[in-house]
Amino acid sequence: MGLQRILMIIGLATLAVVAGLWLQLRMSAPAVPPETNATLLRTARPIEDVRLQDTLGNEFRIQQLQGRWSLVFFGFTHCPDVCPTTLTILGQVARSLSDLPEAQRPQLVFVTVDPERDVPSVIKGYVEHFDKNMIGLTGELAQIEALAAQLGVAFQKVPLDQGGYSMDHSAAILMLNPGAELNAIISAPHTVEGVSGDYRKIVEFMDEQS
Amino acid sequence: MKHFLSIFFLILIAAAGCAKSSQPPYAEDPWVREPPPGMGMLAGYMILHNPSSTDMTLTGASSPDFAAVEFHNSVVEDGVSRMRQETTLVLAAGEALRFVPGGRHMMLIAPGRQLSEGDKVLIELSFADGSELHITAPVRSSGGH
Repeated sequence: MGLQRILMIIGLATLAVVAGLWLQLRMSAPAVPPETNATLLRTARPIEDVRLQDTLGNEFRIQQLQGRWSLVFFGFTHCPDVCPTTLTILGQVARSLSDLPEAQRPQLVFVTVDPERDVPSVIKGYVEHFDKNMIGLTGELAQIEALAAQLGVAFQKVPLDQGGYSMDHSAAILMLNPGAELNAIISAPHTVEGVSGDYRKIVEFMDEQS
Repeated sequence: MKHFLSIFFLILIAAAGCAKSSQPPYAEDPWVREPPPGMGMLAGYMILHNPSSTDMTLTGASSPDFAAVEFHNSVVEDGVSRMRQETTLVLAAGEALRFVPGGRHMMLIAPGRQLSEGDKVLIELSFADGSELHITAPVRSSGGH
């Protein structure tokens, strides 16, 4: 038997073992969720449709978010610190995920908790400042409340001493899957690296599951 | 003896310098977040240092560019973000107060003009001892340089 032949047999055997191991690993790999700072729902929670308004004042049904992953944040435009901070981060997250195939990139969604002041035209300039493709939504308070409740988002009007009011609101970023179902909750504090890292891991994990 | 005396005085001067240590407070990296068009509320950030050996109390702020300036702290309680106004802030001796996105910030109310990246904003901080600190903060789209 020539040396060449022996080497070839050894090579093939190694390859077979490696392939076997890989297959076994792959098939027996328990569905361990990735380590993230986000809370991943093992079973995504469907959302009952609500009717909102987009930045042009047209009706927008939440089911229109189907087809892409979404990163959703509830806030209000009179919020000087937390909302611009979070929306700036979301804009940077979207840019940092631009290497993903288009179908895996997130759509960014801002929902106001202050529809009284945040009419479509106000929200339009606001969201476009952070990301030109960000979807901005307002609507009837009851519809916004119905959506918020389904996503575990709380908000409340707080009168200010000097007149006017502020809004307390959940600081979390909600991640909806392409079925427009709640799939993960990314709690504050947020960083660009943290949110985009969690987003990548969750999308990859959910894609493997399906 | 001459040498001894001069060394003695040098030590005395150095000690006096240390004890007095009345360097005024200063703001490190002040900046204001560029607002979306038409926004009536902006936030300003900085690290405010008190290098002196006495505590100082920040009692207020104003700006020719805004109707009012207030101090607020964003806190997250049970996942809900709330804003708390702070009327006075103690700046402990030798310490610094951090005004950062998502935390303590200067709330700049009703700008007199549309501010965009590159503009500069003047903010005047007042302290309980009657002293003032004037800060020039550039408008930036986000943190970092």
